[in-house]
Amino acid sequence: MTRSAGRTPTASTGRGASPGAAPSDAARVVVSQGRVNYGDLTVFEGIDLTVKDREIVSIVGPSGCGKTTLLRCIDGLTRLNSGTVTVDGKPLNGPMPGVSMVFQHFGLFPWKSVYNNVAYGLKLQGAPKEQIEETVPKYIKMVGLAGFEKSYPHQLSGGMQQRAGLARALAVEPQVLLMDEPFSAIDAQTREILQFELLRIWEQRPIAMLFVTHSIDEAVLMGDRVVVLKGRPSRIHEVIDVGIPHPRTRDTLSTPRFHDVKGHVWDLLMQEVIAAERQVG
Amino acid sequence: MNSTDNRAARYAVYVLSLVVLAVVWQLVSAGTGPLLASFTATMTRLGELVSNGELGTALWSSGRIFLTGLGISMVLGLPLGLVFARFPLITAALETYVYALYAIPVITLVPFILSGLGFDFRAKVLVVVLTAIFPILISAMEGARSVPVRLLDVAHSYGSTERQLWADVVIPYTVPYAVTGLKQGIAGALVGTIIAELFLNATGVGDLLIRASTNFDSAGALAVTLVISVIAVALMGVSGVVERRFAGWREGLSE
Repeated sequence: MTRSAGRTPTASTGRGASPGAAPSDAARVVVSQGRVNYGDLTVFEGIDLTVKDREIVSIVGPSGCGKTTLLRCIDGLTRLNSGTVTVDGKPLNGPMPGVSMVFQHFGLFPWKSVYNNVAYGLKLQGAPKEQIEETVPKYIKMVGLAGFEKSYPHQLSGGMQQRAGLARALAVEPQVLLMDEPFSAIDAQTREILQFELLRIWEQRPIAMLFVTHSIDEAVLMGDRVVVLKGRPSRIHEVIDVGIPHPRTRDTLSTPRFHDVKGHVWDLLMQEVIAAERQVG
Repeated sequence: MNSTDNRAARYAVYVLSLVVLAVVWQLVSAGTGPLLASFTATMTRLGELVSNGELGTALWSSGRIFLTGLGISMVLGLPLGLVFARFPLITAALETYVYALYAIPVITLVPFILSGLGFDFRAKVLVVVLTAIFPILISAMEGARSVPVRLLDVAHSYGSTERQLWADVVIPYTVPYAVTGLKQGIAGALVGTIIAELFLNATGVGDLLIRASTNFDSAGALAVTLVISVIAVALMGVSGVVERRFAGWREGLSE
């Protein structure tokens, strides 16, 4: 669709401009002038980021650029040192029910079965028993873990553990899904399978999603927009409109547009990596 | 198939080692005269002690001290360990003393206990508590302290309150550590019971041991010692089984 537009990365260090905001374009997450520092070390600053409903925003950047920290700020696990995060117009003051996170190392409770891990969020919210009994199997099935309800995490492969992690995050039916390098601890083949399954699940119920990853391919494949963090302290260097329509499939990977965007993101990141290498060397 | 073969082989070797022990014992004792009673003499004496009820009475008397002391150690040690883990200031204030008391051989405290509590049941229970509580407390503390940050993150991310955090994360995570501590605590309580009964006033199994040795009843002393070892091995076995129940997910954690 937007392929004809060629490579027109919308450089915007400002707010994600969304002209003609239709209701479905409502901003779910707004980060404004976000800054986090650990003592004298500023991790990132001047972060302005908007994630709309039904939109996937990927965040890439070199190691240590604060991608995960930014995600944790949106989840309410870490506080911004200055700036604000609002979710659905409400300023964030700690973890919020409508936001769930999928963790890099799965974060499953090893003493709970798959069923009880998936039910965890609902139980904390005090959901009625009938709702839990209805919702939990639905999501276990959706992530392809039917039949493993009674298994324990250590009996499952990494990929299956992350499926359970995803089901747990989805079971609370969040408005915002935060993915913190969810597939980085998973082998390459399984990772590819899970990427497309996640897209398929998202297409069934499109919500606002933030996807932090090290992988440029993954960022472009998943994201409607790709946010590139760069610099020390890091800032939003560029926001790229991927412009590839959903549903995305394996074929997406071989489209010229995918190739172009990937190349562009690669250039942006590699300049920095090469510069850093030279500095060290 | 292979594993059952293995198991059969292990049991065979186990039984064989017992037989060898008995035979060696019998042969060695033949050369040392009355100092070391023979295996057969010991077994005969054991039979007498069982049939005249002396052993049963002694075990009941010692068992009460053992179980009361162990029970108190658990009831105090587990929650204290959790509190220590969760409130670093309390730990900072008391940790050194806990480790110091853990390191001191309880026997050095016996004179103080004697002068403080005399040598009744309470004094003996105190000796048992002092030998059993620290491994339990320290294991619980170290378990609760090592709850991985990523699991705490998950709990916070889903809006867990502090109370829910304890119930859903901290306590379940600590259970296998506590079981390991309990295993050590049982071993400690066993030693504590014997110490209490030998060095305060002689009762129960300690009394049997002392009477046997003052009467040069080597067979009796060995019989009682043997019974204590069997009980110790059985208790360790039981707690080992409980411990292994949690082994699976503990391994899963190290990934």
